[in-house]
Amino acid sequence: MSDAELDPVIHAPVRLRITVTLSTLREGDYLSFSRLQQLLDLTPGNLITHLRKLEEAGYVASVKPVSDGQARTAVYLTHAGRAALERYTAALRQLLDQATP
Amino acid sequence: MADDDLLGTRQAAELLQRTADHARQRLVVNQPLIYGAWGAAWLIGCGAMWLSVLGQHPFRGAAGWASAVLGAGIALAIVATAITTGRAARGIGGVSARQGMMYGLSWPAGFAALFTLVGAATHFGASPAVLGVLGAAGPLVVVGLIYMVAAGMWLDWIMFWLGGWELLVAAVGAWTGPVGVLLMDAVAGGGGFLAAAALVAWRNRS
Repeated sequence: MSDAELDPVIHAPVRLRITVTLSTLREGDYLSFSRLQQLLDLTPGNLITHLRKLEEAGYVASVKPVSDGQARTAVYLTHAGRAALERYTAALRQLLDQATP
Repeated sequence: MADDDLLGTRQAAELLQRTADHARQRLVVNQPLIYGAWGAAWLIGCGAMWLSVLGQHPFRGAAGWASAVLGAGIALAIVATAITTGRAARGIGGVSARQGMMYGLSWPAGFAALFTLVGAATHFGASPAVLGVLGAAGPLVVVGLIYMVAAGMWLDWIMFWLGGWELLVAAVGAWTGPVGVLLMDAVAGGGGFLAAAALVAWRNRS
């Protein structure tokens, strides 16, 4: 695999937006499913589909913090996810540099 | 947007940038707004207090109208802080939420202790001049200390220097007496907040 190959798990509009949005959180923080859905303006089903793909790759993990006695799902970017986004961003920059002589 | 739209390299870079800007704008607390609100409250409120005590011999204390202006300014700044913080923090859990809760509680705790202390000073017969100095310099000591410590939690140098500046204004202002300290609060204290607001806005420019 050459350096400038784009990770197909991240290189899709919805998953790129999920990954980048979660990367703005500080490490140790997580974002509720409903706030993420509202930020990205997605249907729950669409968001779940893409979150599952990111979870399967080990980039995203979920927690169920209990507040007011009821559990709400929240998600965060794992270390592997942050590293993958960094590699993706670097590869993207490399490809763009190659495209503009 | 379909499931797996083919994404060009340039499109992907633009989408990444746009998403990052959008997320930061929504998820990060608007610090310039908070500093700006407190700077305005301090500048206008303490400015009014200063005008109302100007030329008092002996010092009797600020007029009711001036205290009302300061009170209204502080109330507005509290509302602005609560709204912008609540909006950004909604849905965020984990370390930041716990830090934010403890940080948030330190404010009413610090001011409750300060006002109780000023009440005790009144009770034990402090003169209007002493009460004026305590009431004007005390809040900046609380603000300055909380900011310096909280800056360590978020590694925020502008907040750190703002805290240190407000401590300096309180210490120097107290020595200028009950009239002078109000002018110091307004110009140097409020000015410090406004300068921090401008600096953070400049730091956050994309």
